[in-house]
Amino acid sequence: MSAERTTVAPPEPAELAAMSEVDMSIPVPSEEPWLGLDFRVVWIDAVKFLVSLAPGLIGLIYFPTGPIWPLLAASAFGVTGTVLDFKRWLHTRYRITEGHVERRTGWLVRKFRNVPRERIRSVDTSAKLFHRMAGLRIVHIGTGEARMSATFKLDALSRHKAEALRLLLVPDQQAEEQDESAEQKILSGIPWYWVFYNIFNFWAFFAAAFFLNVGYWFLDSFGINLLAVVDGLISSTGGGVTGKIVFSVLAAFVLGFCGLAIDFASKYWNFELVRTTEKGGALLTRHGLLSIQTVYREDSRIRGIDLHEPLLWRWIRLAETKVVTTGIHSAREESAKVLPRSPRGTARRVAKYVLPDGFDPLEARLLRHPVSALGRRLFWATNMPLLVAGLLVWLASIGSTAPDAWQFPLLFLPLTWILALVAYFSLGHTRVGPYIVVRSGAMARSTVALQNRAVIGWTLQQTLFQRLWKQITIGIPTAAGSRYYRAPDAGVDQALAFIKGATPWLAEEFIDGGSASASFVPRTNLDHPSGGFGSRNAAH
Amino acid sequence: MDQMSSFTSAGSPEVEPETPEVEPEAPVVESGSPASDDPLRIRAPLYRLDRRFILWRTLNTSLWAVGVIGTLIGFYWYFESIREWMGPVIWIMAAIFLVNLLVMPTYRYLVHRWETTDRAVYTLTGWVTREWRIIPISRIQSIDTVQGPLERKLNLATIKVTTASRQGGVSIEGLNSDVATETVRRLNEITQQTRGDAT
Repeated sequence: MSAERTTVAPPEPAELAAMSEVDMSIPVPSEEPWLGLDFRVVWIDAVKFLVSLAPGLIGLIYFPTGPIWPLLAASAFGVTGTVLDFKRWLHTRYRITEGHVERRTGWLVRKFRNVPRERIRSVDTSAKLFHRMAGLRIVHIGTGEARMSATFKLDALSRHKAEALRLLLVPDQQAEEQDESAEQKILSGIPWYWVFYNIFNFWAFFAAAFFLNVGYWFLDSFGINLLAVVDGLISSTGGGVTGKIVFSVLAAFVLGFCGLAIDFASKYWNFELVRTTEKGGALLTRHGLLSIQTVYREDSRIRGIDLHEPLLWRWIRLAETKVVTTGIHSAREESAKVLPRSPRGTARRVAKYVLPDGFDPLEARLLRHPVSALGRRLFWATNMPLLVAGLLVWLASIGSTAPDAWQFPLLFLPLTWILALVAYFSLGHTRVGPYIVVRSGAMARSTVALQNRAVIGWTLQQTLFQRLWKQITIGIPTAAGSRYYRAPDAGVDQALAFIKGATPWLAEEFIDGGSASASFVPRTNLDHPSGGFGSRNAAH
Repeated sequence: MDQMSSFTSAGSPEVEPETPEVEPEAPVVESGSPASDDPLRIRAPLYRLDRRFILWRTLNTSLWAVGVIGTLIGFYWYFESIREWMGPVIWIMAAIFLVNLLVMPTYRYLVHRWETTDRAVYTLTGWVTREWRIIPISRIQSIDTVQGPLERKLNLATIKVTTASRQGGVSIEGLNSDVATETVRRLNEITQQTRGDAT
């Protein structure tokens, strides 16, 4: 290990002393030198440092007597951030050995990260505005089952070094440079009006409320009271209290929508969805105005596709397209999304190119679930409001709620019935070549096509009522996407045929009957010694 | 049932001889279509749990019952203002626990079944809602044996099998601990022989 220590660059004694604490986590001694991050990070930090000093200085010079503490706080925050970032640059070292990628970082808390190279599933790059101006790239090294917090990040390397690192770490890399001929563009640029599909979101209100709050404090520093200004503005037009409330809410929403529109535009600027032969075939998205995001999804990791249609958007035929891949945590939705909310026609056309094997399972006609599934939905749609009403009647009788409150849940009955119908007509499943397709969901309908090989087991659930009506709910655990997909209330024969079709080798052990029973393979594995557990009677 | 004759009487002395299991009370899902004379059906797993599962579940439930109802009665006694609605709540909880104590353990014992083959772990659980789980050996990520204090006293054990999907795992509760040990040993053996896939 001492030989290795001498190669550590720069060999500061303090560094070495601290290193000894983490030495035991270095499994492979190696002569490979430690490398630092690009020097240009320091320039970025310096610029950021000056920029973050500005608000505080302006406040001190021009409004020395005003309530400028938000400006000072903003400056302090920014300055601390850049100093810490500079410290991070100073203390971060990485190296690529034969079998591992290693990184050590941290100043107060030292961290050592070691990733075996064969575990690396993806190497992606991204760049923020300053990074792009300085020709830098942030490298994200993804391993299979990484938790969200566990992303391995090198912030930042020069563009060429980042590209070289990507080529070095991900095998099956034929093209040296990004070879344009290896790319087949599926979608290049998205129409401007897609903005409208993606901004109408309830969160707009809260986003706006947040920004208004920030704006209030900011303007307050300059002696402008935002509330008073708006109040005066409305009063001058002669609106009452109701007018003020309506105006404020509407204004907040409009402001929120504008904010989301800007966010969407800067994120999806120059959107490109590309099928490339790099990495043995991959689906690639590139987009962004200020910071460009490039995400590779290798074919070897793609397990299927998920077409997501929230109820309100289904009527105007919008859908969101996500790939189901291993290695991407379901919570990191952004990298699973290959297409933002878009017209369903486009989504379906794109879906054809998303899957690597040329199948188009989303176009398949789905098998309808038995009508009793509708009965079950209507039963709950009727009884849940009734149950709540009953509870309210009881609460009213002991004086805890208003005596007429019980009528309120009954008003929802038409709505719940409609939802029951919608939910029923969402149900469906089928098999297409090597894919299984399931669809369900009332508020948000989701059509998922999953490769047979991605199925890592089966869960069948049957409640008392389902037993009476010959239904069963199929659960499909998988290692990709949201990790679990369901086909609720399928007919029992439908479900068993589905399982038999998708995993015949499992079905032959557990599912009897059907026309294929002639080829039923006798179970020979019962001869193993523990086969008799719990069944000694057979030997008596 | 003819395969049963090939069984050896291996296993620990604690494994009680049991009555033939699979038929007739084994819950078998049959498809409802009368048109086909040979409908698809999923057969029940072969083995029952240890009989002491009933005792274990009863003890477990009674501990919970004492804890929960005791707490509720405590609230009822201490806060006068909530008595009006707390009374019915306590009665309803008591009724639920009574059913859980008297019926559920035996019912579950009659329903629960398990089996491991060279290809898969297969279980049937539940009482009101039934659940079949099939996990291919090639997808198993870890196999654990768990024994709580009550289980240890009763010589029972729980096997937990996990996969890459959190919902894809299975736990077999109420096995004789010797049976559990042997099953885990054998599962580990098969798992090592079976080539896993890189999911």
